[in-house]
Amino acid sequence: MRLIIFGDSYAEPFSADWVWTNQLTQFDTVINNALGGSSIEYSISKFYEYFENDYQKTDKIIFTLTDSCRASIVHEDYDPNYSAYVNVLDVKQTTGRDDKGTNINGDHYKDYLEYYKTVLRYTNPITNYYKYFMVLSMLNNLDNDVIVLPCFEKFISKIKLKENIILIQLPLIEICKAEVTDRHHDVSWIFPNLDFRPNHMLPDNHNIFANTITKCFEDKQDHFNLQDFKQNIISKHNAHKFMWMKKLFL
Amino acid sequence: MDEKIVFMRLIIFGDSFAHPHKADYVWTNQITERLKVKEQINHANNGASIEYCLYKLDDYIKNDYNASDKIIFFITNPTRVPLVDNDYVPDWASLSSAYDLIKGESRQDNAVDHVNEHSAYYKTHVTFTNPQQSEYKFYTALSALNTIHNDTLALFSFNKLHKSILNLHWRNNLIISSTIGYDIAGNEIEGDLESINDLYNDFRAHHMSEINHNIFVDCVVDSFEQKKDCFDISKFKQNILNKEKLQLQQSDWSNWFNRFIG
Repeated sequence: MRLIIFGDSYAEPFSADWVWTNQLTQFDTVINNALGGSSIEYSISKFYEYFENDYQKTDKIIFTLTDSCRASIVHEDYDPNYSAYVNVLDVKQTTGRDDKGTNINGDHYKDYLEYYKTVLRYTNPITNYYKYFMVLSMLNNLDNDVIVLPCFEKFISKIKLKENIILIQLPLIEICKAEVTDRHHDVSWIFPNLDFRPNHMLPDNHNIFANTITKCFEDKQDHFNLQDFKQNIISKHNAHKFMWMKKLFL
Repeated sequence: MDEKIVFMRLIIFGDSFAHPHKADYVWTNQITERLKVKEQINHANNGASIEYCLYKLDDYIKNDYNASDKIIFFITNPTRVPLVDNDYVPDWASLSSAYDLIKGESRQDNAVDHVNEHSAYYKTHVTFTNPQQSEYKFYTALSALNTIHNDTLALFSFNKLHKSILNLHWRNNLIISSTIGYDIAGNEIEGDLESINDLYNDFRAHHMSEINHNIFVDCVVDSFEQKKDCFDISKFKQNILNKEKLQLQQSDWSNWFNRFIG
């Protein structure tokens, strides 16, 4: 049995064994198409590619539903992780920082700044809810078991989902935020490009996450509860420092 | 979804092939009576993108859905600008405004200022847009239509679908036409259209002459009645306009046409 994953940094592959995507040993094969910073449109296009070329009725699917406001370009010459432009612009606006984290894409944002400004000018998170509808209606056509995990906000579907489509109510960012002890004072650390925890979680929560995913697939119910995850286990400074620890683990 | 049945309506989504016009002969004004529905709500907009149409469909499902509604959905060119916002005029998405400005055509609308101000956006959009890589949007649109249960007719404005999509297991009353709007429009003209841009100067309502509006209506009615694609490109009148005439419509016929354009 195969597991096919689509989405953003909450699901992107890492090599360490303890990362949740590597703990789902009940699957013979895990094909992970997730990519940090990518857009919903990128995930849809990867899904379509899979559906056209590699689809199997017995596959199980995980789809993390990322920020709907990311730049929607899907093109062979466009690095999909550029899509999370909001992180760069907001980090600069909120913290004034332009450190290593914000320079990850070299000159791209400098060269195409006007493009991203226009995207930002004509982007409204409420209007963009239609993108969640796009994803859910696409997945709702399948008979495969599918877990849909919203990353940044709770989403209630207005379309009737089939029993095999499990829409998780807990936004993944809540798990990520709750790990940080002093999260209430300053939220600038939230921006994913300043957070180097793999999938924005520490190892203990990767274990819990993997177990929860397994339970969801077993009985097709949503088992994600914030209180089941470890909380207040890292300071915001350590969340940033984790980038130095990354090499030890990955 | 509120599934109270009030009365049967026709809900239309799409681009210039379905945009409302005033003249009685246009297919959107004939179809309500022919389908025997009590009301038509037309969300189509000239130049609109697939994203805009899906936004309108999502809004309809959330706020105005009736299980008895019939739906017509034109799936447009997937390379159009995907911006959807209250401040973004859906017409701008077709890039025709940018195209006209590049050609030096004068325009009276606010697209001029918009395109000038956001020219870097449009350049970048064109740089990073590839028709083949945008085809996933067809699947997305059909999936969205497949998730409701109404009698639905999906038509493609410009593109031919891969057989693989047509062969997927869509619900029985989702009728996917294999006749392309652009082919009906193009076949009216003697000779070949050089490019899709030839239609940008086309002031025919829904890009069709009157006689083909009538045929179009028959095809829609038959498709809904028989729950299968009853469009056939050979039913439509062909070679009835020459290209010069088509383009002259803007300068010579625009006053006449303006009486009909809503």
